[in-house]
Amino acid sequence: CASWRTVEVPEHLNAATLQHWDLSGRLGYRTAADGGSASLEWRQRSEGGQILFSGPLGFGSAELLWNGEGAELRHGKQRHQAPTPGALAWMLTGMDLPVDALYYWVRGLPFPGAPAQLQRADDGSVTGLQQLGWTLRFDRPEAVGHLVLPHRVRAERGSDRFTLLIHRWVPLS
Amino acid sequence: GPTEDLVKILAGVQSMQAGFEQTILDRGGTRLQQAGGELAVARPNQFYWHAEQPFEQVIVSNGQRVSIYDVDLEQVIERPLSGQMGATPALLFSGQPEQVATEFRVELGEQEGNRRTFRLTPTGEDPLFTALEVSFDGQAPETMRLEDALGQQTIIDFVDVRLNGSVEAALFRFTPPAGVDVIREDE
Repeated sequence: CASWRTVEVPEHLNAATLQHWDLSGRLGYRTAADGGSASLEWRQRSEGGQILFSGPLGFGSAELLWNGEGAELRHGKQRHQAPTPGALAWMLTGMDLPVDALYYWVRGLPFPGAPAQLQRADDGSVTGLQQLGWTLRFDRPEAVGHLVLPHRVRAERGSDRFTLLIHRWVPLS
Repeated sequence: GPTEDLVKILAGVQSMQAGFEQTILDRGGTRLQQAGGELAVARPNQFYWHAEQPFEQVIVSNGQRVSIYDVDLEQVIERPLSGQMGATPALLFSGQPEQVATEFRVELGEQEGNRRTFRLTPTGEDPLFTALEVSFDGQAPETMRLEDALGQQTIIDFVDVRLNGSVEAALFRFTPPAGVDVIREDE
C-alpha cells in the first residue's frame, strides 16, 4: 500500500513547482569579442516560452520564441528558425546561451539533463553550481509568493559571461 | 512643408535639459517597463541619459563615442557613435538638423494651438525603429514615441524642459568607474 509521507520540503526547493511565469529583468552578456545588455521579458507557459529583448533606449527589440517543435528568433525584419532556442540565442548575443538550462538556473535549480556540483547556503538554498561547463552564482534571494527565488544569476564559462538581474517575478503556476 | 518646419525647430535647440518618463509597451500594448531619469543634449551629437529605474543606466555620447553603463550589471559598453540619426533618436536633438531631411520622411500629425506632432519614417533599409513621432509645445519637445520593427513601442515624456541653457561639458565625458567590466567595440 502506498504510504503517504509528508516530506517537509524546504522553501526554496518548491521552486521546481514553479513552471509558468512572467519575469522582467535585465541581461548583460560578455564574450571575448563583444558584449551587450538588454531589458528582458520572459513569458514561460506550458506550451513554450517567449523572451522579449529590448535595447538600451528601448527600441531595437528582438523576440525568441520556442515550443515543443522548435524555436524562432525575430529581430527587425529577420526571422530565423532552429530546433532549440539556445542556437538562436547565439545569433543574438554571440554566446551559446543554454536557454534549456536557463529554464532551471533562473529559479536557482540545477538543469536535470546534466551532472552538476552544487554549493549550498546553511538554509540549504543553492548559492552556486557548476554544470555544462558553466559556473553559476545565485544571490539576492527575495520572496515571491511563498517561494524564495534568486534575483541575480551570474554565469561564466571561459571568456563568456552573463548576468541576469531579475526585477519582477510573476509566478503563474 | 513639415520637413522645413521640423528642421527650423531643431535648429533652434542648441542644448536641452529635461526629466523624462519612459514607458515600453509590447506590440499588444501591454506595459513592459517604466523608467525615469534625467537627460541633457548639446550640439554636436553630445547627449547624457541617466535612467534611475527599473535599472540604473547611464548613456553618454561625447560626439564621437557613446558609452552605455549598466550600473547593476557593472558593465560599460563603449562604441563609436553611428552617424545616422536613425540609430539613436537622442541624436534628433543634438545631430545636424538638416540630417532629418535626408534620413527621414517627415509628415505633420496633429496640430492644436502651438502643439505640433511630426511623424518621421526612417528612409534607411533595416532601421532599428520603423516610426518616430515627436510632439512639440512651441519650441519645447514634449513627447517622443518610437515603434520598432516588432511593434514594440517606447514612449518618452519630457518634463521640466530647459532649452538653450548652458550645460557643462563634463556631463558629456564619461569615465568608467574602477572595477567595472569595459567592453570596447570599434566597428
